[in-house]
Amino acid sequence: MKNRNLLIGFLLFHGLVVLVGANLYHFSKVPSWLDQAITFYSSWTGGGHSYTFFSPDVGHQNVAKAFLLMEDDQIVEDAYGSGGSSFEMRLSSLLHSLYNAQTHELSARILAAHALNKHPGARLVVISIGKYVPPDIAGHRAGRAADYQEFYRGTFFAQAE
Amino acid sequence: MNIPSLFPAGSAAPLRWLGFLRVGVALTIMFKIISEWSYAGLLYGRAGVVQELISEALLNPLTPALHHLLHLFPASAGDHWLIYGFLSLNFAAAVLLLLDIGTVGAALLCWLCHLLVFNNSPLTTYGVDSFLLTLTFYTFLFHVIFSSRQRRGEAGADGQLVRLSLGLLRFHLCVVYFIAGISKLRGATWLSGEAVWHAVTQPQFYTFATPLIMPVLTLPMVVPLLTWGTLAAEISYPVLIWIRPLRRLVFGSIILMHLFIGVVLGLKLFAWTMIVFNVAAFGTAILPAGRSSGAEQPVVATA
Repeated sequence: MKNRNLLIGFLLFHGLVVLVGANLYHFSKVPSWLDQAITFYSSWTGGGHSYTFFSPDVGHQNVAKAFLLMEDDQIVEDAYGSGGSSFEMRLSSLLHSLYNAQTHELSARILAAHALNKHPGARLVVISIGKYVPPDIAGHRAGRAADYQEFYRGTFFAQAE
Repeated sequence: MNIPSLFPAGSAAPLRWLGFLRVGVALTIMFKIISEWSYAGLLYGRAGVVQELISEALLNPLTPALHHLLHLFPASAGDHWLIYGFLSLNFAAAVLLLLDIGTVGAALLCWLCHLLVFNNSPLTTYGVDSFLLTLTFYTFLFHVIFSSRQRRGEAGADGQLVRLSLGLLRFHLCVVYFIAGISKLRGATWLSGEAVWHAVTQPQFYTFATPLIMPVLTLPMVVPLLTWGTLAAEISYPVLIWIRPLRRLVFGSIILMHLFIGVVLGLKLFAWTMIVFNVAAFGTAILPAGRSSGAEQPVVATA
């Protein structure tokens, strides 16, 4: 009976965390200890996550390009975040965080390290990050093409350990 | 030798929904591992696309992650073999969960494995990971609460615990849709009716279906109807799903929405995971065989 009451208590508690955590970030004044406690609990149980998919707006997709200068002076170009594979989906999640301007440099370094690892002969890599702006429906009917608006560009070199 | 059935003989009992959850979660884990197999080193290795140094800075120190596990082994073992060994173990646990063999242990292993993966690289996680963590946790928790004999209908289950457990699953799903719906009301593209167009035209969501559906989407009012229909389905779900005459319509609408997400936007695993969540939560109240079961019906109380 004691275990049963404990279980019932836990199920009710979990439901409460689901409710509070789901909408936590819409409250203006959430004590930081509560925020941390729910984040910790949700990282173990999934209860307390926020569910704001495609909101408040779908927005434009961030995409990244890597231009690698190879040892033979050839340019190799890679694009990230535009494929449908599981890996590309996850890269898109990474690129989505680029709406925060403070992460541009960090994310560009991540992509540069990945590109230089993938192409060991490269002398340098230029990372270009921008948003892909498709035409609206009227523009699409008129045959207008999508636009790539670059908002970050950086050049990186491999550094021997 | 008896080959274990996916849905045991007693699955028409009040715990049939738990059979849906177990099978759905096991298949989701298997699909996920198969789809990520060829990129696993890049996704989860210490020198993967998001290196350990960066992930570590974003993690709560009390939250375990896969690279913590990798550190228990000498570097000479190589991340490659450790990661594929880990994924193989996770896959084996999912197979056992699917077949209902050693179910509590298999569910525990599935939850812990996904926990380690989920927390390994916060920058590259998306909706599937979050929901799979939720569902693996529930699968483990509910299999601890209800014994295999209770799940097979050979012993009575505590009615209050059955109702509370299934109620929690349903409540969680209702919270998901309600929050997803109302948070969209702040978005200009959702209110103007253009949001679905913005989603379909993103390069990451380009699939075989994109060129087929574009001519339909450019017809007058199709995109606004899909956009506002999504809003209506999500916001009304937590209320209308409880009204018996409307339940099938609401359930069908939300499943259609997820099929659209899976087929047209290519988010197949996310769509599948949400369908599993829906079927586990409300399937017994919707599917014909469930009419005589489910938590709405009396349950033998043994407490």
